[in-house]
Amino acid sequence: MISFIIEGRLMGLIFLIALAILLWYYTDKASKGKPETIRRLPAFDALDEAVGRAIEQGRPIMATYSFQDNFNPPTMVGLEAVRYTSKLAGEKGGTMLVGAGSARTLPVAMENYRLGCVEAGVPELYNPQNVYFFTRQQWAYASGVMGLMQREKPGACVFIGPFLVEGIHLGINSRRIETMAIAGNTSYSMGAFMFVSMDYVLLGEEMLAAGAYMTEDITNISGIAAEDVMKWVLAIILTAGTLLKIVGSDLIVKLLGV
Amino acid sequence: MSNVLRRTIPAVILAVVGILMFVEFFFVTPPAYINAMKDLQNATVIIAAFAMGIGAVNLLLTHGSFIMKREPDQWYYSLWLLVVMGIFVVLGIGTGTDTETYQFFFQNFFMPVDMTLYSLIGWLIVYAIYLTFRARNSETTILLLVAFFALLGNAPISGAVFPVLTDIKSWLAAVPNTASVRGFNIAMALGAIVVGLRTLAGRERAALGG
Repeated sequence: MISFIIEGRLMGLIFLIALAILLWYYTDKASKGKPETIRRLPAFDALDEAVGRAIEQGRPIMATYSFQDNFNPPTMVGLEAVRYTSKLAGEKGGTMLVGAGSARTLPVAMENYRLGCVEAGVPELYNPQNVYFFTRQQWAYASGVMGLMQREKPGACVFIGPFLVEGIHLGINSRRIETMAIAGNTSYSMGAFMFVSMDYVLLGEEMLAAGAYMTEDITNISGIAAEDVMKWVLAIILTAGTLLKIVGSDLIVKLLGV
Repeated sequence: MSNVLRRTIPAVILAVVGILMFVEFFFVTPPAYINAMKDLQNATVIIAAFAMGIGAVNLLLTHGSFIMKREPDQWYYSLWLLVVMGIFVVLGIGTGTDTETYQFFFQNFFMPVDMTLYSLIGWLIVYAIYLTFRARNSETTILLLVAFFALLGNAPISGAVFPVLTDIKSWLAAVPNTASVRGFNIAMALGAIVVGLRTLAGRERAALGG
């Protein structure tokens, strides 16, 4: 149809541009003093409580973000969670333990841990030796994290990231050491393992919204509003597609395949 | 200067590379451009190799410290880790990872532990089911009922005795489950796109280390 666009990707491009325009609109609106508000997620109240409780018990706080060796959105939210948890722990004078799954993400995890301490006003609490590099091998990573948990007995554990089935090992292990476990996962099948074994779980887009919540940046919060509008658009398209299909028309299917 | 080096320059590189990849994905581009993008992706392998060095230094510092301090219940594990790491580094660099010697060590050191942990999943799921599937409120009661039909529907004997159970299980999987998973995936994909846009705009702090 349009020769300079790869066949089958035109609608994807249109949706992407529409989302970018919505993001720009809500960011502009927020910068003019009308920011969107997002509801507080129960997992974050629990995180505050868990960090406080761990410090009262004299136990450290652990954050890790899976073994996967890439910077996909769940990994980035997990890395943001390292900064946020370090900040919370730093404000209350707690010790952080950071489990890094892959070498590529290790320097970012170290930097986020350091920044969390700096933002809390306690840069002296940053200790690079509290960052444990494991590996990108799934079970070696899982056994490394479980070993750290058994050894240090953290009072609060944050498992936000693209965890796979090792999530159930970490969840059951967190019960064995009687710690509060807060997880986040964007996969419905793998998230289920964490859902049945951990105390609080951020599932799907809730976890990606958590990234915006933790940064408190207006662009990030505006992104949630843009997503919500786009969800309504997609719901209308889906409903229209279903109704048209019932009456025997493939119009929406053909349009989406352009 | 520090902020420029730490934030601005990486954010600009990230945005430029992101836009270049975006163009390759959506637009018809000449073969030279596609090859250049492939080279760019291959470059990440080289960057990752540098990061491995940082990982090795982190391991040496952390576990070396445990050994030096004779950390109770830990130092001998740390020593073992460094010895095994040394063996694999020497074998990997000296003989290559495809050789019989390297594979002997890999298959006999690494694989048994790996498989042991993997095989524990079945037991852990049963334990997690015991912890979770209790009718505490209306939502957990629905979860319990669905799990009940899924378990019985998947068991060959119950399907043979009461075929309706298999039908109920199949309907639950094909209709309510599929519908909710589609909604979940659409919302997740939108969230991922927004994270990508935030990253391109240089506003996603996590990608750049704060």
